[in-house]
Formats: sequence, C-alpha cells, structure tokens
Amino acid sequence: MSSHQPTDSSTPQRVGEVVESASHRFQAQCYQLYQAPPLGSLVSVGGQGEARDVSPRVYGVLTGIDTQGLEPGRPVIARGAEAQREEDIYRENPQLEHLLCTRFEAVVVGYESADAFFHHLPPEPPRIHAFVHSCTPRQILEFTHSPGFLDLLMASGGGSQAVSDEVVASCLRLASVHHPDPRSFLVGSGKILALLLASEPPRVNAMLRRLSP
Amino acid sequence: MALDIAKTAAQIDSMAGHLADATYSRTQQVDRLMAALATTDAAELAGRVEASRGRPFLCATPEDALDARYQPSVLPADFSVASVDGSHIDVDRHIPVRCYLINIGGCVFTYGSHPDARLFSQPALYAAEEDIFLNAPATTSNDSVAVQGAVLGMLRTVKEVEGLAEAAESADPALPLLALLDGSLVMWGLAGRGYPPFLREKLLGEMLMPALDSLQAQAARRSLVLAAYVSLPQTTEVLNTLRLALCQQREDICQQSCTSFRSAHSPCDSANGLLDRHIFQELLAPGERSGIYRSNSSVSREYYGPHQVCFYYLNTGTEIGRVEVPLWVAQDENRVALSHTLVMDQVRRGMGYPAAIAEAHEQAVVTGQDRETFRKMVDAALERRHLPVYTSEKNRSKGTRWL
Repeated sequence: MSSHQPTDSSTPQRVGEVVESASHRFQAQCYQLYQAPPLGSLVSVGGQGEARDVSPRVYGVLTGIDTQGLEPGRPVIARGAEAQREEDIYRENPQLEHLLCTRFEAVVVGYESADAFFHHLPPEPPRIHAFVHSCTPRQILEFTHSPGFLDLLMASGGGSQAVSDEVVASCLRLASVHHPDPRSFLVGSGKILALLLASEPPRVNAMLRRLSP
Repeated sequence: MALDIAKTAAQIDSMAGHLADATYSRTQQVDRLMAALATTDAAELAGRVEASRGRPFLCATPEDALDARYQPSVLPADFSVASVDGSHIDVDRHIPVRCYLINIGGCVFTYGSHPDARLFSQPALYAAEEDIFLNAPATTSNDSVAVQGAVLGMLRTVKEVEGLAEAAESADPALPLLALLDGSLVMWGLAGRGYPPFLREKLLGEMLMPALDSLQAQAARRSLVLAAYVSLPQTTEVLNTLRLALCQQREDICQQSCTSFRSAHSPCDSANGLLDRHIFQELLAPGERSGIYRSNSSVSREYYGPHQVCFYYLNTGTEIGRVEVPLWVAQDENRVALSHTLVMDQVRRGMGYPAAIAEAHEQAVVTGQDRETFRKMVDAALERRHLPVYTSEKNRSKGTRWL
C-alpha cells in the first residue's frame, strides 16, 4: 500500500448497472443518456450492501462506450433537418431519452476482498444488475499504486490492438492525476509497458507518446 | 413451396394495369364531385340527410360548408399529448387452457419549456369464467358470447380508451392535452346485426361510455381534447353525402337499384369507386382541415350520446387523414382548432404519422416471439402444478412438417 494516504471524503457515484457479465469483462447500461464515465477510467462493481459477503468488489477499466436504440428492431433515424441545434431534437422528441441508451464495456483488472486489492481475475464475475460506481480518488490511488493491474489490462485488450493501447494510455493519464507525483507515476508505468512489450519497440514508443498529459 | 411466385406475379401485373386505366376515369369523377361540393348548400343537404335514412348508403351530416377549409392555429408554447394502443394474444384452442391477454401500452409526451416523456405498458391476463364469456343479464336471457376473435378486438378497443382516460389523468393539468387514439372512435364491429343487443349494451353502455365520460369530465376541469386518427381512411360517408346531393331518383327506386357501394343511375354514379380522401386530396392544401361532419353510424347515433362521433379530414402533407372527435369536442371551435393544431404537430414530429400513436403502438405491440414465450410460460406454469399440458395434433403437425 502507498505511504501516501490521501484524504478522501468523496463518495463513489453510481453510473450504471451490469447487463452482461463474464470473468474478464462486463457491460453496463447507464442510467442517464450520455453519462458514461470517461474511456479508460476505473470503475468498481458490487461489493456493497448485503451482497458484499458473497461477492467481492470488482474493478474494471472502461474500454468502450456506445449509444444506440434500446430496441434492436427500431433503427435510429436523422431528425434534425429543420432543427437549429442538436439539443432541439431532444426537446422536440422527449421520448428519445427513454428509447436510446448509453452502454459501456469494461475489462476486469482486479478485485477487492477483505480490504485487500488483488490484480487478477475475481473468483466470480460481477452479477447481472450489480451497480457500477465511478471510483473515488482514494480507490484509484490505492488500486493503481501497484502496476500489477496493467498485466490484466494489456492481456484483455479492448477489441483491436489500437483501441487497447488507447485505453491503456487513457487509463494511466486519468489515474496519474490522483497520485502525489503524476509524472513519476507515468514514468514508472511507461517502464512497465516497455517490459511488457519488449518485442514491440515502435508500439511502446507510440504508447509513451500518448502518456503525455 | 407454398406460394407459386411466378403465377402470382403475372396476376399482380394485370391488377396494376387495371388500376392505371381507372386513374383517368377517377380524375373526371372527382371533378364532377368537386363542382357539387362547391355549389351545394350544406344546411339544406343536412336536412336531406336526416330525412333520407332509407337510402342503401350511409351519409354523414355536414355541420359546416362542404368546401370549408381551415388552417391550423398557433402551436401552444407548452402542451402534452397522451396516446394509448393495445395488442392481444387471442384464445388459442390448441393449448390446454382457455385464456387471453391484452397488453395496453402508451405514452404521455410533454413539449415546450419542460420536455418530458413517460412510456408504459400493462399486460393483463384473463382466464376467469366471467372474462371468457360475456353474459346477458340473468333477468333477461341466458345468452352469452365468447370473448375471442372480433369480440376480443372490440374489448381491447374499450380497454385502450380506459387506458387513455387513466393516462390523461396523469398528465400535467396545467397544460393543454391532446388525448389521441389510433383508428376510429366508432366501434364499427357492433354496427351489424351479428351480435346480440346485450353485447352492445355491455361493451358500449357499461364500458366504453364510462371511459369517454371520464375524458369529458376531465375536459371540464382542464384543457383537453380527445381525437382519434385514421391513417389512409377507406371511408365514404362524405362521398355518400355528395351522392345524395346529386341523386335524382326517389328513395324507393334507389333502394331497389343501388347498393351501398355503387349507384346505378347518373349523375350520382360519379361517386362510384371513390373514397372520401380522393375528394379532400383535391380540396385541402397541406396543413388544412375540412369542415366538421357528424357520423350517422347506427352505433354512434344510438349509443354514444354526448360522445356521438364527428370527424374532419386533414391534409397532413403526406396523406389525407381522418380525425374523429366526440360531439363535445366538435361543438367547441377552440377544441376543434386545438385538436387540428396538435394532430398536425404530431404528424410533423412523427414524420408523417402522429409520433405519440407510433410510440404507443411500440409500447403495446406483442411480437411473434412474445407469443411463443407466453405459450411456453403457460405450459411451464401448468407443469409446475402437475396439470396436464397438451396441444392439438394439428398444432403439433405444423411444428414438425415432416416429409
């Protein structure tokens, strides 16, 4: 654990609910349209209330966000030919807020049990309908203090390799601001990436460039 | 192969050829009727309609000039629209339990400074004896009608109006509200002689009228208009009124030689083969509505009382739609204007069809997959209680289709 103990009075914000779940990834639906956490951010699932005894708090990193119609058979059509502003479309068609939904996908990068963090897959995946919370600065600091979470993140990928690298870089940039010395954190993370991708120097260089704030 | 596509295609092509030939003739017919529309006195014709109940065709009573045209008024800054639609799973004699399901779906949209939407759907399963059969009052007869097919369709329509009355109650009372239904307000299915009188009394007197009364009572407390929108209407009531205006035959000759669809004499045979919308397509510019007409459907006249059905036609820009309103809306110019304005706005938002009706339909619809799931759930529920689960051999054979 870090010797740096930040004061953290903020509470995690509930941002969605798990609608698909597997050991290495989960998908969540946002409660509000377009209100997904940023790409690459750390979120937690479960581990609260009565379910805590039987279900550890799982941590994930957002690898993708998408917004589409809630019902597969109803294609979204262009509605703004006569609208002056995008928001006018939503004002003119208030039902859209209920018929569109934003979902996000996260890869599992570890879990928390008995107040200890583990940077490997949890014994069981998050439950369907488990609440997804954004992480507090303190959770982010403590979870990313050790670089072990990068192993799972790099191994999981987020689709194509390019997306995966973007997500990793974004994750590290977002986490760095919660560390007492963000630059030191990014430099240390860069070294880990160089080790993990020792056989791919061009890819490492591209990722290191993306780590610049 | 079930359908020989090649043989069908040839017949479709022949049909299209006949339609093309008929179009030229129709244009000439419409011209003659438009001339009658412009020169006939509506009040005099209305009197003639009232005195001509023995004709073999149903005329509407004009409440306004025949060639009247109205523009929509200014859209209110804030207003709501509520709509309800229904879908059902009919009684299936191939499954072991007699039951049906009615799903009522709908929406309440609020437009203006605080846009909002509420969507809902409420399924209800009916399997009790009193739901499966509608019975005549015990004191009058032991007659009963099974609720399935067309009767279930009519019961569903009643449930839709009840649902609309409930939805209207939930809308902000400070805002003008359009309560909008899909289809006709007239329960045409009860117009014929195919059902016993007690069924009309039950469906209309005991169920539909109280729901319409509720909407009228709400309209007394707040700004509310009830309207029903018929897309691509097939009705001929106005055309029949013009047919009456043109007819030069005595009523008894008309009864003997003409039918509800065709006149055997000139010049009223100009109306043969046409629909009301063919006339109003010529008369109305986009956005305009016609004058008000009162339906003389026997169901509406005899059972609807203050809700007797009136209607106007509306050129939405993409089609001629028919908007039906109860008498208590039709007799109030402001309410008619509000219905016209808000229906037009709904059509604009819905890109050709009222947005709230389209959404209500989406909330109500029961898909083929839903029906299959429902059936499996019924089987599973019976099995859990160790009740016999079976199907007909006919139904089983449709599932197997072996060679």
